Amino acid sequence: MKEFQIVLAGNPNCGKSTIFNQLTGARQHVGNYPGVTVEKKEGKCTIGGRTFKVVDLPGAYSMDAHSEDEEAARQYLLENRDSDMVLVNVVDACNLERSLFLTLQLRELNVPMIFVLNMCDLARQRGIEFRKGEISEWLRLPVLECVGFTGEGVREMSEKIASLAGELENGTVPEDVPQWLKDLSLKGELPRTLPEELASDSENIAPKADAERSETENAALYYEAVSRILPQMISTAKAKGPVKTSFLDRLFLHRFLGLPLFFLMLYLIFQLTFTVGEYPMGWIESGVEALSEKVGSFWAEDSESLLKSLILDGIIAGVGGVVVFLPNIVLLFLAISILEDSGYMARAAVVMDRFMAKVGLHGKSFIPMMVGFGCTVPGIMATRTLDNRRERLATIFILPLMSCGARMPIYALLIPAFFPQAWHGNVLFLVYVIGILLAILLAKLLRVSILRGEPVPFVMELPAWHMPTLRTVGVKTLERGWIYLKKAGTIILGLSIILWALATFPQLPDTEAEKIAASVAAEMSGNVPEETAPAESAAAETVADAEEVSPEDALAAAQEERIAEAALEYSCSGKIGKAIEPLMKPMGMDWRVGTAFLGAFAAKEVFVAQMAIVYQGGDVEDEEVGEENVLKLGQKLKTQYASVDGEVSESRSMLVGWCFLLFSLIAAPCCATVGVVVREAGWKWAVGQYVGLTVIAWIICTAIYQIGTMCGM
Amino acid sequence: MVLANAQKGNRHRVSEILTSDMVQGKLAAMGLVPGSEIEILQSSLHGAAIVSCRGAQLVLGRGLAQMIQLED
Repeated sequence: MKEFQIVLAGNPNCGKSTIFNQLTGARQHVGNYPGVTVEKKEGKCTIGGRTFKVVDLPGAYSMDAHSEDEEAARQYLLENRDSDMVLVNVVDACNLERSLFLTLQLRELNVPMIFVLNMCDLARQRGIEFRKGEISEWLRLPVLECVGFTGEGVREMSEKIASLAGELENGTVPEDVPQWLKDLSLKGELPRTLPEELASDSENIAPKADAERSETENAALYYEAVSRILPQMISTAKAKGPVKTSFLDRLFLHRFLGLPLFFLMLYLIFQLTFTVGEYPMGWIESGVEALSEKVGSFWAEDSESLLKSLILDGIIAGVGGVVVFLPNIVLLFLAISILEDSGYMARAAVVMDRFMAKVGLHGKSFIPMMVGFGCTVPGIMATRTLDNRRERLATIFILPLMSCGARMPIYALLIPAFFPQAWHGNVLFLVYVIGILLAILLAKLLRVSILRGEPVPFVMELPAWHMPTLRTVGVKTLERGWIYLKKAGTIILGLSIILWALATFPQLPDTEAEKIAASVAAEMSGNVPEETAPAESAAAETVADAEEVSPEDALAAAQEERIAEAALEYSCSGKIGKAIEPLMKPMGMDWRVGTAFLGAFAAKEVFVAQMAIVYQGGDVEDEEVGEENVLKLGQKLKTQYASVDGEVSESRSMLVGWCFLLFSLIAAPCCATVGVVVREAGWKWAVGQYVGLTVIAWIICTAIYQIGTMCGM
Repeated sequence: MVLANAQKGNRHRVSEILTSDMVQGKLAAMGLVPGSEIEILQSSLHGAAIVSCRGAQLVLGRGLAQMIQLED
């Protein structure tokens, strides 16, 4: 038995991927905006004992590609037209007239094909009835109705495909292109005469006899033909008339309210991720702590076992540190899924168009940017829908400034650490907004310098609003949560072990440790040697000041702390960190943060894992954990980076907090991003973007920190 | 009259589209050709115009809306 392939082709956002998922059982990403699928996806399915390869093509409006995703679809069809395939033309049933343009072009390929009216439920609601027999007659194709979302009609469709494949294998030739279509598409070789029933009344677009018709003239002829056939194909007797602007569009696209509503929604999303996320975050943290204690109890209390350290300080600290932020991730993706499925994404693009036009991009560039809120990599892929290369490059360049989901854990760690509780949601919102504004500013710079060029006219189809269902949104959200956990259990786990090893080896020689212990003892007994740094002696004092601590315990604690610190500095991680510290210092950061940012290249969450690993030793005094809902790691960070003369300063805390946040926002895209930029734009762009963004981040953070410090923060 | 100046709620027939062949082709594929009947759903006084054309709703940037000629 031959292996046939089922190729799904159709307009953007007509539901190809939903049908693909129904056929193959895959979980390909779906959403209610044009351009969700930008490269072909493959899967397998078995119908009646016959195995098919299923190919989901990016949506295209025509076979004359105008953007990279359309080109991918076109190429695939042209290259495979002679292979054993069944072409499934998926059509949005509510939008038959426009869709038929592509259908006619596909029909001309003259490959075995079926015509599938998708989303028939919506069409029925609008009172549209299809005369399948007539459609089939006109196109000389099998015509089927289905609802990809619920699976209605999908079985009939697969059976049809299988029987068609069977017939083809037995040598049946597919029905030829209908004569009227053949007549239409003769491109300039012969004087064209439209079939009689189509010809009347079309003088104004009469075909040119000698010159080749332009794409537009060609299209005009097709549409002319379609608009004549259409009344015979559907019955709109009961139709409620075309859907006009809905209430939602009047609201969300309102000329004054549209933009504030967009920002209000972002604001609510980020308030939600924090306020709702806090509680489960606390539970997970307690769980991780309990686990850590339980596992730790397998060893003697003062055991120096390396295995214990690996498990507690490496794996549990690193992975646990990342897993804690699962609730924030789930909430973020819940919000993104709702935006994607409702159809709001395209509205945001319209609302932002005014802004984007000012910087030489257009609203359509904003869709990849919104996708970037989830993850930068698909965001960069989504730029394939843009028609102009310069615009596309500018959009790719600025995309990492849209805070991705992997940066959420960093923000969720840093914000509660450095900012008062009431501000958490607001600061998070501000970070996102600063990202958007910086992106737009940077796009402007690019569009007047290296990517100068005329702005390309903006045209985009507005998808119909769709009520997001619990099923799709829930499945997507849980899936993203699961992906996050899987990442924590694989990549982050592996990296945590590496980071732990880097932070542990080479180990501090015992002789060094003894020297440090002796010098701490000397300090504590009153003879503070001149060379000790003030911060460190301050730390020792804080410990000594605590009332209930006996002098011996205080000494031991101070010694332990200093030895741990020296050991960290002595390790690989410490040495690398020390080497880049001169660059971090002007931003108010030290070498530990430096290593965390270096590690974040592998995956952004690693920042959190690394901070958790290097701050694993030495517990925070209980009295310092006064504020509610602040993770212990956050407390340590605040004590470490926001202390002035041994006291935690609130203003300094915010200054340092902003430097940390902005640096994580702007600097150093992760390696997955660099990889996809290399593929989509080339090495030069990837390197330029990495270096460019990091330098910008450094300049901004240094300026903020230095000015803030001068102002006495 | 150009689309950019058309009033919300009105129906017009497109007479001419004065852009590059590439953009014309793109618009054609999306259903907008000379001769297409469109209804203005949102005027482009403040940014993009939204029109209903062959059953689809299209967003057209203000720059583009200025290049689309309508019959009166």
